[in-house]
Order: sequence, then C-alpha cells, then structure tokens
Amino acid sequence: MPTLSSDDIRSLSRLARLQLTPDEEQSFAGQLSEIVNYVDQLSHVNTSTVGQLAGVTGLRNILASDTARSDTDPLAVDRERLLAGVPRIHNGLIQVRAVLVQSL
Amino acid sequence: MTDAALFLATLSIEKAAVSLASGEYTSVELTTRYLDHIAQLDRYLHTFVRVEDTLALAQATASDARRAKGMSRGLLDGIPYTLKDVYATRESPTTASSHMLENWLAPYDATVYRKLEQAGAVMLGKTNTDEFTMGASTETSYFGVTRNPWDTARVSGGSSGGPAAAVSARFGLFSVGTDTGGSIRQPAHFCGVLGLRPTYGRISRFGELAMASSLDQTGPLTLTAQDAAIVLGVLAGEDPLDATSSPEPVANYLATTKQSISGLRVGVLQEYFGEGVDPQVEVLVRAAIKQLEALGAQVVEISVPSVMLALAAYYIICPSEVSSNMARYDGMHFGYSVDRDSHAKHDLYQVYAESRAQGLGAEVKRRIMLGTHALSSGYFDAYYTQAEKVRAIVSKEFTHAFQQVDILAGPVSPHVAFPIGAHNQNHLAMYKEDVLTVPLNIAGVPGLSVPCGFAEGMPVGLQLIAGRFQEAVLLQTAAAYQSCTQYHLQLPTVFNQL
Repeated sequence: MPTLSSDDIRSLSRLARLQLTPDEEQSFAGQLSEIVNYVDQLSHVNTSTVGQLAGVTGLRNILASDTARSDTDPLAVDRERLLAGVPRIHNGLIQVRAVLVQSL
Repeated sequence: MTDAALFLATLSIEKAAVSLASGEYTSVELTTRYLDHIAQLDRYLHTFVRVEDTLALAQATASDARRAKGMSRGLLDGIPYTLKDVYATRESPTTASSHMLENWLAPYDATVYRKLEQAGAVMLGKTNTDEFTMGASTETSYFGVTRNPWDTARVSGGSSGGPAAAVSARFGLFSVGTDTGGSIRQPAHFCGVLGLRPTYGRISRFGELAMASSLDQTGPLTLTAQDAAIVLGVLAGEDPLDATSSPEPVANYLATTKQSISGLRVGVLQEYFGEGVDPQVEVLVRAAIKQLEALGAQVVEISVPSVMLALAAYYIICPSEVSSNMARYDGMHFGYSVDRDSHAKHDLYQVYAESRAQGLGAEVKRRIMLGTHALSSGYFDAYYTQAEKVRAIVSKEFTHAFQQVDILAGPVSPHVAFPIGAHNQNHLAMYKEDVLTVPLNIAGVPGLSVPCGFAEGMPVGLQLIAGRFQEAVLLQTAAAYQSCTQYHLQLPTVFNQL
C-alpha cells in the first residue's frame, strides 16, 4: 500500500510553493495516502495495448489567423485594468522580489 | 404564499419571452420581481456571492429600450439569469468563492458572459460554488455553504450548488455553471432542476476560471429542456479565443425538443445500478426509463465494463491539471498577496508560498498537493500516463455503446442530497460523490440530469448520456419526458417561508 509521510508532504509543498503548517502536513499525509491508495487500483489495469488519451474531441493543430489586432479591438486587454490588481508596481511594470540573490 | 412567488413558480424563458414581446410586462418589471424575491428568500439559502441589483436594472432598462425600438435580440433579451461565480466579468467581481480572488475585478469578459450580454440577458448576480469549483457540496466555498431549497439542513450539491439552488428557488429563469466531474448534473439532481453538461469543447472556456482544462465545460441549468435548448443555442459554438472549442456545427436544439422520441434506442447503463445505489433512487430511475419506453423508445441493457475505473483516473488527471492551473495564483500578478503590505520583508519564495497558503482553502491545497505528487518525476508514468490510458479505454467503450444506442440512462448520483457536514471527516467519501458523473467528463460525452421524482422528500434526477455533440437528442428526450411529468414544476419547501 503506497503511503505518504510527513517528509514527503514537506517536499511536495516546496515543489508546489505552498507553505503548510505542521498540522496540515500531518493531516495531508493521512488524507493523501488514502486517496493514493484508492487511485492505485489503476495499476492493475492492463494498458499495454492502449495509447494515452488527453483530448477527446479529435481536434489538433488549431492555429490563429496571422492578422494584427488593434488596440481598439474589444478583445484586446486594457493595460490599466490588467495592472489594477497587481500587488506591487514600479514605473508601470510588475515588481517582483529578487530572483537572483547575491551571496556574500 | 405571495402572488409574486406564485407568478415566478411556473415561469419559463419561453413563456417570459412571449410576455415581454407582447408588452404584458417589461424586463425592468420582471427583473424587479426577481430582485425582490431574492431579497426575501435568499437569506435561507445563501445562493449568491453577490447580487448585482444596479447592473441588472441597467441591463433590463437597455433591453426595454431596444424592444421599444423594435430591435430586440431574440428569446433571451430581457431574461433575468444568474452566473456561477467563475466567469471573468469586467463589471462585477469574480471570486471563484475563494479568499484568493475576494476582491478581484477581471480585466476582460469571459466569452460565455459576452454572448449572454450580446443576447440581451439580464445578470441578477454571481452564484456560489465550491472554491474554484473543487467539491461536491459548496461546503468548500470561502463564503459558506449554499443550502438546499428542499431541506435547508442539506447541501445543494456542487460545485454548481449556487446555480442549482437559484433555479430551484426561482432566482432568475436560468443559471450558467461549469461541470468538470459532475458539477452541473449532481446539484441539478439534488435541487430538482434540469442541468446539462455539453460535450467538451461545445462552449468556449475563454474567461472561465480553469480547474482542469481537459475536463471543464460550461452548461445551462433550467426548469425545462426547452429553456436549456435556448440557452445552449446562444452559448454553443467555436471561439477563436479558445483553441479547444469545437468547429462542429451548432444544431437547432429548440426545434428538436418538439420532436417525438418514438424509435429512440435507450440503453440502461448496467454498471450504474450496482452496489451503493440507494434502492429508492433506483426505483425512481427505472420508472423514468419505463416512461421513456411508454413514449416509444426501445429500451435495452448496455454494459460499459470499465466505467467504474473512471473515478480513479479522474482523481489523478483532475488534481494534476489543478496543480498546474493553480500555479497562476502566485501572489505576483493578481489576487491575494502577502506582498500588498509594503512594509513586509518577504523573499521571492515566501511571496509565492505564503500568499498561496493564506489565499487558498484546504480542498484546493489538497488537490494541488495530490497533483504535484502525481506529476513528480518517478511517479508520472505510474499515475498520469496510466490514468490517460484508462481514459482511452473508458472513452472507447462509450463510443462503442453509442454504436448500439442513441442514449444511455441511469442515476446521477447514488443517493439524494446529504446533510451539511456529513463528509467533513471523510474526503474520499466526498470524492466518491462523483462516481456516476465523472465517466462522462473522462470520455468527453454530454449528459444531463432531469427531475424524475422524490425520495425522502428530496428530488431525484435521471441521468441521460449521449454521444459526442449529440446534445439535441438529450434535450429531445428530456423534453418528451417532461411533457408527461410534473416533477420539474414542484416548488421547493423553502417557499413555505414566504
């Protein structure tokens, strides 16, 4: 039976960029183990002759026509509206925390 | 009961469109009646995240002005409706019932909203959902549960619990919701209304806040099949803004609802009557299938042998797509952020991890974690690839079934609406709520729930399933069934409060 430990949960939470409390780490370990056990029934299905299916309607290679859109096009997103919800703005640009940090 | 409530009780889009056209009442009068009704009754249900009185009256006024000039835009012009709170709209905040988006005003309109606006429909407000549509009861909504209009101690279902309860309580003539694993059909079944999940790609997903992009699909919730046909006709069609929307021609759905179902081949989906299905639900669903036979359908038993594997495949595919879609809520671009406090000293990782920790609820976190696990290296093939292969098997079996019959029939859910809090300690039990609805999403086929009776005083729905892009035959069958039944016209017990 596959199980997830609190250590597994901690490492997943880092990958998911999701800070968890120690309580959450513990409860998620139990809950996720239970769900993983349930979905594990799929490992017994013989799929050796089956291809993967992601899309069910058979569409492929959908391309937009190569035409320019004007700023007055109602579909064009308004810059001011777009930036209105941004937490930190500097000179009309989205400001983020340093990505590369100089080590001393 | 007040005269106003009785007036709204049996109203449909079809009837209201005739009255608006004849000048019996204006859209402003109709809209005002609905807003008054909502103000009186929604305190018992909590179907709305936000009622948009001002916007609704402005849209109704514009509709009346168009009509006065002879420029009415068709059957939906002036018709009041509600929208599940997961569609981006510039004029009204979009929250997905999440703390993350509590104050978010979208910079663009979803195609679904744009089409309804162009058709002249009047938006009464945004209705409640499980947070980011993740749930089967609206209990994961940051704003609190939506109660069932038939018994306020029970859930309205989910994730479109708000839309289903709104249609049941006559808060508007239709609602629009999303169905990723049963989120239209199950609440429709719980609340005694009709809910249609079209084929994947039938309606544009542009501006619909994504949960699982290969499974999400918009659809209407209404009282009648005719009304669902009208709404689907407006919403369906290819959209250059959604590359997965289908170029398949849009049928005249309303016209097919007038046709007889004589000779229609109906398959009783054997696996849907197995262990765990409440005997009272089974009796009602089998009686409904008998009724279809009496209307001229040929009924046979059909097996889709791998259909019960769909749920396990779903709970790999769905969380995987969730974990990747939810990455956009990063505390940098929009929504809740710990970085709004200019005095805070956070590094990059903390802005991500703490904004998400504080902005998202437990069920969303659970699915992000589950998806991150399923997609992590070393597990990807065992989980995700295998689930996509099982998906292919289930999909192929449905295709095979629809070579033998036009429609498959069965229950929507194993039981009626459950009490609020019943699954609080058991997340797997909540996931299993979707066992009879998820297979359609996995296979990408359309389905609907139409009211077929009551058990323990609670509504029960009949689930009808059709081949890809065969929504017309679903609506035709539901209309034929409703023409000789009255279940969809019963008023929920919350009306006793009036």
